[in-house]
This record gives sequence, structure tokens and C-alpha cells, in this order.
Amino acid sequence: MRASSTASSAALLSLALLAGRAGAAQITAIVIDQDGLPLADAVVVAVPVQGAPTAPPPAAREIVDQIDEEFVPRVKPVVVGTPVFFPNKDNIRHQVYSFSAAKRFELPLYAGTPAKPVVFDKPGVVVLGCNIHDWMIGYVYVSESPYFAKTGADGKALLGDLPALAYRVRVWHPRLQGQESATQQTADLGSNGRAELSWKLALKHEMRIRRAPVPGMRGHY
Amino acid sequence: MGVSTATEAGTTLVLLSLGAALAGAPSEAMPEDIFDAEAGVFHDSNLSNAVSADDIVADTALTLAASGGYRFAPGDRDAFALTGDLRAAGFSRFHGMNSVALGGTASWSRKFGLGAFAPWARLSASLAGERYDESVRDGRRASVALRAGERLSERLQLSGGGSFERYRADNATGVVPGISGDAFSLLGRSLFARADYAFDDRWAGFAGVLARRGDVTASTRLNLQIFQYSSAIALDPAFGPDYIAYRISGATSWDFVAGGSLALGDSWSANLAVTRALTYAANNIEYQSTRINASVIYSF
Repeated sequence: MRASSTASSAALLSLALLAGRAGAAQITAIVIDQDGLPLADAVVVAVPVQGAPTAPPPAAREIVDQIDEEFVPRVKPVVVGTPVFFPNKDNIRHQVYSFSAAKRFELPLYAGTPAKPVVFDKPGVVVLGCNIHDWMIGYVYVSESPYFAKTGADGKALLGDLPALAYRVRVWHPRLQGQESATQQTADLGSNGRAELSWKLALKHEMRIRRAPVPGMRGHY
Repeated sequence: MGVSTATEAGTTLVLLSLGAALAGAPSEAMPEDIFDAEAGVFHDSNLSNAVSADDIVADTALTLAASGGYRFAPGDRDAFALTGDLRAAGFSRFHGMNSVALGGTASWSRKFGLGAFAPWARLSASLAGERYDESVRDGRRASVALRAGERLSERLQLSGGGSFERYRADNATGVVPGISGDAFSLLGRSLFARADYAFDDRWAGFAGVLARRGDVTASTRLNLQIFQYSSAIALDPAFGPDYIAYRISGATSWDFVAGGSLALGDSWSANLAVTRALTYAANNIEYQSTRINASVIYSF
């Protein structure tokens, strides 16, 4: 009886340790550009090497705002299946759309927040635009893995609470030159539960449609 | 001329009526404020449109233009705008050309599709009253323009169209018995094309051509030849007591414009445009000018 109790306690302790370890692993990502400067808005995605990621339910509500005729945030990473609302916080109307293969949609001209979100049900990059304000551009990165993070102004991103597994880790950025798959690295968190990865990305110039006024071409379109 | 005037008036009336109807339904249309302002320096190497080199006068002006109003979007592809427009110019030498113009513009725009690369068209009608320091040039200007364009890439946009313009002078006073003194009333129609190209995030360039057919007003010192080919003659004290303005009908003008624009943020730009204008008419009448416009534009 006593031996049985001890064994049960040991098993519970092992499970607790495993559970704790599963949530403690993390990847620290550092992304810089070709000039060595920290790169913000890079999406770092970790995909388990073996087996499909055990995705938690998508977030109930993600948001991409429109503020001062720009998308905020400009890059929004979400896991596949996530509904995203597009609140318009300007005092004018917007018409958000995308032609991207991962999600084609069009929100008819609106003010405020549309009643229904857009559900991003396929992985990939979704480029956002506004049909009224051509210079507006934003990105929804739809990840097949729930393990992702976006770099801040310091070029760093922390992927925390990961199961202690081996991962293929890649990076995407709106100005990434070349294929996203070419950025792939591996990280095995099974040993000490931590890994630090870094990338130096070659960026292409992003030509945005001009917003500033030009003589003789006032008004929209 | 009568048909064109009726067309302008009719189009303006339709656009203004539509605007008034939309303004009466703000909850549905949700008007968007629009405001543009431009301040600059303008130089014309032949302000008098003179044919003879002896009569050419050049001058430089400080200019100001502002336009504000509302834009309505009754549908996903259409937009209607109503603005009040103010323009003013103050010349350094020929103060008689100092002017203020006050008017309004109604425009209707349609985008034929979704996205930044969908072709678009805009029909606009403007009316303005113009006042000059030398009141002989005072009058009312009406214009109707149709412009269409398409952005071919993030860098390049092409556009073109046509316009009718009429200027009716208020104070036509004849100086020669039997010859009209309405030398400043003009009618013209134009075709134009333009390319806009963004070199990078801040610098953009543009080039265009405008071909105009219609009346022009030229000024000269007393010149008996003008009685042979002018349909209207008036005194033109803006350039001096011995200047006479005369109207030439059926003139063809070519304006070639090129310029650059430096973005100073999302709403501001500094701009420079140079226009080479060539005008030809019957009886070997020909004059040219170079106009330079440097300006700062704000767009809200």
C-alpha cells in the first residue's frame, strides 16, 4: 500500500514536471537586416519537426485597426482559423479588401466595426488594401502553427510556453528578399528548453503607393 | 459655343443637384472632410501672351490656392465631392494682374473595380468668379473636365481626358467702333495626358501634354495688324496704358509640362513644375512662354 502510494506520487510528480517543462521551453529570435539594424515586424514561426502542432483554439477576437488611414498593426500574425475584425477608427469610411490566394475578401464600404469578422482559414500571407485610400497596405500572416511571434523595434521576438520539442523555425517579413523557406533553422528544445536563433535578412525595397499630394492630381484615385 | 455653354451649365447643374441631395442625407452618405492648400511662386516669361518680342512682359507672382469641402461615397465604387475653391495671385511688377478667384467644384468619381490598380474616371465641373486689380479682366470661369486614369504599378500612373472651359468677362468695353470690346471672354476645349512616376518613397515626377483649341487673349502695344485677325479688342491697362488686348479665335496651344515632387510627410509636398507653352493661330501668329511654378501643397 505504501509502495503503491509512493509510486503514484512519483508518477504524478513526473507528469507535473513534464507539464511544467512543456510550458517552459522558449525560443528567443533576433532578426536584423543586411545593414545589421534590428528589424521590426518580422514574423518568426516555429513548427514541430515531428507531428502536427497541437494547436490551441484560435483566439476569439483579433483586431487590425484602421487609424489615420493606415492599418494598425501593419503586420498581424494569426494562427489559421482565427477570426479578425477590422475596426475603422477614422471618421471616414474604408473598404478593406485582399486579393491574396490565402484569403480573398472584400468588406463593403463601412464605418465603425463590421458585425462579422473575416476568418483566415488558410495559411499564407494576406495583403490588405483599402479601395478608397490606395496607399494603405497591411499584412495578415496566417500561420499553420500556433507557435509564432512578431519582432519588436529591437528586432527581438520571444516564442514562449513551447512544448519541449524540436522545431523548424523560419522568418517572414513584408520586405523579405527570396523565399521564406530559405530562412529555416532548427532548434531542439528537448535538452535545456531554450534556444536563441538569429537571422540576418536581405530586404528588398518596398515601393508603396504615394500618399503625399502631387500637383494637379488632387483628390482620390 | 452655345452648345458647349449649355453642356457646361447642364453638367454643373446635375452635379450640384446630386451634391445637394447627398448633403441632405448625411447619415447615409457620411461626408468626409477634404481640404487642399497650395502656396507658391509662379513665373511666366510671357505673361502678356505677346507675339512681338517688344511686347513681351515677364513677371513673378506669389500664389495661394485652397479648396475645402466634403466628399461623399454613396457606393463602393463612386464618390462625389463638393468643394469651395479660392485662388489668389499677387504679381511683383504688373499689379493689374493681381487676382482673387472664388468658386466651387463638384466632381463625381468612379473606380471600375477593386484595388489600387483599377481604372478610374472623374467628371468635374467648376464655376468661379475672378476679380483683378484691373477690372477689365474680371469675369466668371466655368469648366467641365473628364479625366480617366489607371495605375499600372506602384510607381506609374497614367491619366488623360478632355475639358471645356469658358471665361465670360464682365466689363467688356470697346475701344474701336464696330469691333467688339469683349477681348477677355474665351472659349476653349482641351485634351490632355499625363504620366506620374514615383522614383522612391519621397520623390515623384510627372510629365504631361495638353492640346487646346479655342480663343486666346494676347496683348500688344498699339499694332494695326491686330485689326486684321482679331475678333475683339480692348484696352489692357494691366501691362501699361499703351497696351491693347485682342482675342484670337481658333488658336491651337500646346502645353508641355514636367515636374518633380518631394513628399514632406503624408500630407505635405514641395513641388516644382515647368511648362513650355506654344500657341499658334492663323496669319502666322505665334507666341511662346515658359512658366515655372514652385509650391508647397498640403492635403488633408
